[in-house]
Amino acid sequence: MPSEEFQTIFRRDLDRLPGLAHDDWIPQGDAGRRRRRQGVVTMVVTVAMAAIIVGVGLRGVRNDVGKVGPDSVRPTYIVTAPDAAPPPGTQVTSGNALTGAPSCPGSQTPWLVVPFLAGGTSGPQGGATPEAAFRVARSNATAFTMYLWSEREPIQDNDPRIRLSTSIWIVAGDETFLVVAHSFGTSNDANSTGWYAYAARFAGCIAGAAGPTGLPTR
Amino acid sequence: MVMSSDPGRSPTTERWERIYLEQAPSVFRALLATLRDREAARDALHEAFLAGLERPPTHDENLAGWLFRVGLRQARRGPYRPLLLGIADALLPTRDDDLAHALDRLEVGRLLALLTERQRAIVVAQYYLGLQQVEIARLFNVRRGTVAATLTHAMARMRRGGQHAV
Repeated sequence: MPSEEFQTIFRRDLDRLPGLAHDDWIPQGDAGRRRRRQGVVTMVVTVAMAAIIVGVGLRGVRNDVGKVGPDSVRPTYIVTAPDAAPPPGTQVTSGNALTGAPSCPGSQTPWLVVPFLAGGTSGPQGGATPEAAFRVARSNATAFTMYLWSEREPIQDNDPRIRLSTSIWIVAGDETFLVVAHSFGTSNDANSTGWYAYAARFAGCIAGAAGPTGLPTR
Repeated sequence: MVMSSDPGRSPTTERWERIYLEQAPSVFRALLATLRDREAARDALHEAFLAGLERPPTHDENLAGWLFRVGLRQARRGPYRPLLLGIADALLPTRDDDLAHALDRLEVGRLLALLTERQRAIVVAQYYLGLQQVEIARLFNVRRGTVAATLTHAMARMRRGGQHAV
């Protein structure tokens, strides 16, 4: 039979475990049920991102998240880890990413650096909307601006143009975030999809990025 | 006449919330120690709360044990959790890493890590929630002898792996 001291130590130690925030004791609406699905989505995203990291080690990354619609020949943006080297012809800039979503002239492609891809940092927690995902990522942010990808006009979280296939750019002070929807399962219904905000920095415009030779390398 | 402060909530709901909140902190830590995953523990606790809203326990006796059991049962029902948690844990750190490390820094946390989830659940029920073996047996729908044997095996395993004089 364990000693009384064991039981005392056992309780004392477990009582030292951190609890929950005050507003997290009670699930909000059906959030409790949805959170589990989002957790699953987070894990899937994490696994998917891990696969991307492996890709970075080989030859840089082409991110198909931003490749939608008829313009799918050229990716909407390219995402890499911070230590990826730019290909020849890249115009390194940080000029226009704080006043709107990054954009590049002509056939050039925006290049985004995402620290998460370097590993060592945890993946983001999801949210039901782009703004919710951002607020999870930066709970202390008081002012921020959202843009549809490649747009310069700010939008609100309820903008009807926001689709699951849309990427969102958020500027909060001198920090910028790429917010994308990840879907788990076979459908894009709201219950299997969550938005995720990744800290991202606009690194420049890549010329001729349609093929692997135009991708950043390391 | 019982008045509800929120017209949308019944007195029954308010009562359940009140008694749930009294037990929730210790039940959350019990779930955390057993599941070793903060998100899973929080979800399990929330599911137990929702389950109580839909079908409250027939009496308030041993409510912590009831929440603990229902939470664990709901956590095990998560269809993707075992597979995906395993994959994610193997590949990348998660937000729970700090917590897992905190748990492991605790002497008891390290000992619990030596056990299976089922053993952890029964050890936590007995030594943290303070349930009697007969109560644990009833909650987990097993024989009392099974509880006793599980505890014996768990303590032996912790004794071999730990430093406490158990």
